[in-house]
Amino acid sequence: MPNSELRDHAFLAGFEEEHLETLEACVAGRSLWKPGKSILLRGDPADMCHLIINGTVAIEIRAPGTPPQTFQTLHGGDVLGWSWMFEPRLWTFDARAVAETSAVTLDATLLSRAIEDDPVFGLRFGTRMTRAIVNRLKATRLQVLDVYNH
Amino acid sequence: MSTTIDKLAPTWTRVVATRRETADTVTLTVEADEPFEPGQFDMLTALGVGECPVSHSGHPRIDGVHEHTIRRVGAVTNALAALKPGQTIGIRGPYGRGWPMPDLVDNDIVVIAGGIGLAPLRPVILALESDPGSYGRAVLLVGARSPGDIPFMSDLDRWDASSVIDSYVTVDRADDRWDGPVGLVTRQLVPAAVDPDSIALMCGPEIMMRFAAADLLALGMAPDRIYVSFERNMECGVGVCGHCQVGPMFVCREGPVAQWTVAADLMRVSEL
Repeated sequence: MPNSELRDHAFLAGFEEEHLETLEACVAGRSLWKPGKSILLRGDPADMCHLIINGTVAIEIRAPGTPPQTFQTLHGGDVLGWSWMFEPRLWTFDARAVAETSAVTLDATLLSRAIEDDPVFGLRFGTRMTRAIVNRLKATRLQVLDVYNH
Repeated sequence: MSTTIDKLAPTWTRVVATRRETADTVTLTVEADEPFEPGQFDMLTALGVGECPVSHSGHPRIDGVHEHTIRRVGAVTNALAALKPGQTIGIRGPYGRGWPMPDLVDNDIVVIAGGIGLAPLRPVILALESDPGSYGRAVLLVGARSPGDIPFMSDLDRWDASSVIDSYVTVDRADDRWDGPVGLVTRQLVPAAVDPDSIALMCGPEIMMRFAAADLLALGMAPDRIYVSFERNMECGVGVCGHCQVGPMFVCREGPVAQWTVAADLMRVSEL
């Protein structure tokens, strides 16, 4: 059955019909998190990929004895979670809902299998994921440069 | 008849009020009558210290006073930011080419500001606020280093509560009181649902503007609908001394506002 929230998601804009159908078969459900709710915990198995519909998610890093530091927030149209793509398939950072947040959640096991079964789908999905990763890296580099302080 | 030499002589006037924006940024309200356009700048003189260019940050249609927002970065800006109401300040201007205000009428507008870069854009937003019916949807994206470095907080609160402009503020480094967006300012383009047919006005660090322009172009915005404001070492203000020259452009005279069709190539040259 078509999943309109998945089909309308900015991350998938322009995705081909057959690949949308492949993704629909990977949907684990719709997730909803209240503000403050933990979504991902560093070190836990990375078994999901979330397409955020709306809300705000803080990506956090923790060091012993210090409060968690938010270094990026994600919003509607963003994808949350790519550690499932790479060994050891464990989350690298924590993620927490800052505002009420909803997402279409994909089962990473089914998604990995779909990528292996259909290399064209894998390429298309992987390209989008890479673009998201590159954009996140670019943003992080600018944050590190501290451009506003010059 | 006004000559170039006349334009280089400051008028001595008084500070009427001061307002602290952040730990290192102050807005001065000064007595002044010279009309200006949003995006233009004045040369301000701190007696016995020196002169520096400062953008207009106040409403362009309020008679009798001008506002200038100054960030403390050196001897002159430190002296200007330390001025108290009643003290004397030198002022000459306005100089340069401002934002394309007539072109904004009936158009959607996206304003992207980095840190103190909101100062030269504030007159545009104040003009929109005075006459909201003349413009389409307006979106404001502001990026700052930290929550404490966000300038014009009272304006942002007012704009946030109004329907005049949709505001999105993001910081590079959050503290424990901040529950808003963290990250690069242009990551707010998607949540803000910016229409690529909008006209974009940007001011901030050049690196930020370069990346923001790339994101706007990727969104489908035409390069001639993107405007940036250059920050350069303006000294004479009238295109004579050459201190502000960027390639063939005298920023003080032909800028500081430039269309992306002109600015893109100039920003690619690292020596400029």
